[in-house]
Amino acid sequence: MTNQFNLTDSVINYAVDSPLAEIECDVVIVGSGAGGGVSAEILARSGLKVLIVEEGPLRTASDFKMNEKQAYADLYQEVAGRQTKDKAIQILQGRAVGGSTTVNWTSSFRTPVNTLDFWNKKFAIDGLTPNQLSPWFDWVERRLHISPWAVPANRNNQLLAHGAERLGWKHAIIPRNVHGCANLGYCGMGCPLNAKQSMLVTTLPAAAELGAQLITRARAESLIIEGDQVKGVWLSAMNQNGQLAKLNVSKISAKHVVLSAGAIGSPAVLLRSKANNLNNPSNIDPYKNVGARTFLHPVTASIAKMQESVEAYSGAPQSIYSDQFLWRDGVTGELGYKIEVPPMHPVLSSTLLTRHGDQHRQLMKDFAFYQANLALLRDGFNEDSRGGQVELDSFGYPLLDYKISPALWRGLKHAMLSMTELQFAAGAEKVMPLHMDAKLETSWASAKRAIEGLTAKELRWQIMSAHVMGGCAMGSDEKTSVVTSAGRHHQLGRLSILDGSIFPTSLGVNPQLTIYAITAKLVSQLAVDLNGKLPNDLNL
Amino acid sequence: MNRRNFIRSALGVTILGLGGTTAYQLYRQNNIEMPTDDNFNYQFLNQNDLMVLQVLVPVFLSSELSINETDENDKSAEKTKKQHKDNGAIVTAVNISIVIQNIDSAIALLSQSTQQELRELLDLLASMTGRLLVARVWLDWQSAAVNSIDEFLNEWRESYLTLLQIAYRGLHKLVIGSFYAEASTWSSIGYAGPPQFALNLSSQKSSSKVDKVSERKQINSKSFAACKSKRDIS
Repeated sequence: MTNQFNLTDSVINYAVDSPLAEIECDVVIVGSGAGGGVSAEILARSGLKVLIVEEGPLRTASDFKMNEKQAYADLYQEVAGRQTKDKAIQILQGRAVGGSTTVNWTSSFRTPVNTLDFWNKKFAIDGLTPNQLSPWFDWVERRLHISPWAVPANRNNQLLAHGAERLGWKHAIIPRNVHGCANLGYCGMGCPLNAKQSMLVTTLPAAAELGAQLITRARAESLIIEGDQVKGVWLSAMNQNGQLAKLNVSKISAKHVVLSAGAIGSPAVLLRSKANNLNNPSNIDPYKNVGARTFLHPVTASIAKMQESVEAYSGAPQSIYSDQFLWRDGVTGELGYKIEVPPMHPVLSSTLLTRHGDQHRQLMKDFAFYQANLALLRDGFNEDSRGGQVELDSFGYPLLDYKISPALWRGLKHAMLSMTELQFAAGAEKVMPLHMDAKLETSWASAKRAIEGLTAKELRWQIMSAHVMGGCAMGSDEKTSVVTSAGRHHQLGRLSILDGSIFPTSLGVNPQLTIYAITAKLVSQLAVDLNGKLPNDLNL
Repeated sequence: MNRRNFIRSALGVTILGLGGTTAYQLYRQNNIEMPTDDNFNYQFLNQNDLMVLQVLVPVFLSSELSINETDENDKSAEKTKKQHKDNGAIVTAVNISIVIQNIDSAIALLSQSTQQELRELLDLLASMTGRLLVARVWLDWQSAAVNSIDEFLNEWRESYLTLLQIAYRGLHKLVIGSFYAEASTWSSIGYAGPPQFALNLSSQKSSSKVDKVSERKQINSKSFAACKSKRDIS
């Protein structure tokens, strides 16, 4: 249940320790989240010398106090308030050892067959059919103890099931990556019991035990490129506030570089490399695909006041979902969505209720009685849904420019209608769509009218995201993608990208299991290519 | 028009609407000072920011100002207002200062470009135009009427200007989040807080205060087991 190996013994922290000027290793992995964690374990087990670089801090179970103030400051990008360029979408994303796996809500879905089929047909991606991925899903599910949640759902989730049942909508139980879970409900603040099988307690300690080293508070500034080969990475030191402290303090020389910095971070490393490389930046991004088609599973939500206390902060945060509308108009038609619930804790909930003064106070008095639904929209399949573009700000920090397309607006409205209908079916007294112009509605009929009249406009409609995907898309055509189906950069040798950034569209499910499984498959091949000795359980 | 001028002129109009003349006269007459005598080591906020926030924060938080007073049954709105009258601004400032300290800690962790935007906004609020606003509110505050600043926030919220909407949403998130981050507010909303048994279990796990203690010795003694390294070549 707990990690056998103490990760802290293998760590150097660039916010405190003086940096190492030069380091040599077989493989340097940039990022310690879902992609980096799995890569680290498999490469280390194949006998390769691995160095992992993480821009966030190392925090472990004893630091996790189930307290939002501390958790958002320690474990999230921008205190859990990262935003798109126009500030219309709030992005919840991890920034710590383990990446978002340290703070996610543990939902673990296999990639939908529709999604993999679409990738195969539309982007000529090979090797990633449902059959080919199946043994890798099996492997990951064993490794991370993934299984459908066997404990009764908390009230927040039960009400989703209840409403769906009343309406005759599909719903099912969510598989979770937990082992010895005490059903606390604080996954989003780091698991204090090491029950969540995040990278922090599984793959990273396993890799460290085999000699892998970890540098925290270090940003991969840019790739070191000679000709068309990547030779390593320049690291910059970050301070304890997560800001740049000193540029290019370490030169890492490696036989291979793996970028696993996520859908905003990995494009940023390539974009900085393009800006910093004086010699020949032309082969980093010749077709300007880097950072393009970045997807978010944009989330819309509604809050229902129930007659009885819900206590949506207590118990496994996500255990029931409904896919009634996920493919509502086929794969490429009107945007489909998955309905789930978010946990409700005071800071997150209070900041989503965008009133002030007595009005806000009044809303907060019913805090414990709220049930919340969310719908995550499947962006990137419809022709009109092309995602966002990652850019760099003047500090070399990534910024996502994500414009909301007409198709997405239609999807958001459709989803809002479904969620509120479901909440009234589940017995809600009042429902409040999360929109600046919305108010509490007391019947499904009035809510429907109100939602149909809501302005489809940035900053009025409250939109969030907890899933970042794309930006370094894989594909067979180098003119429209960044990496091959094997995760290798099209133009540069000795460079792989293994994380959610290589997805050519969003998924339609919470992404962690897809990232684990695809990374496991691709990095196992990489281990062989680098003359590593792949362990037997990975000869799949 | 650049961002700065844009906000400035928008603010100017708002303040005129609030009856700026009276406020301006007050501003000219009195040197407005608010108590900021806490020992907190602010990383981002300066004295001007503190003044602005001491006015804005209470209005964001409704009449229930005191973090320490969370008793549901004390008719807090009336009581708090009365208390302010009795004790002047001191009580208010002491309680609000915790919220403001949280705001400072949060801003310190934001990206440098977001910090830059907040700096512009706060500077403007504290600037000549902003001080008029503050003066006006100060006047209202003394008479325990927060209506005009409440309206002012509403104007931002409903503004056709994107920048003012952004400013509202940004301040809202910082202020409201910093308030409900405090455990002392939780009972007033029926939040039980984290389960104690889990906290006890958690504290038994080995600690990793790596940000506070240098790991240099450990790293040196182990060197990099897997990777060859040269330290401090120069």
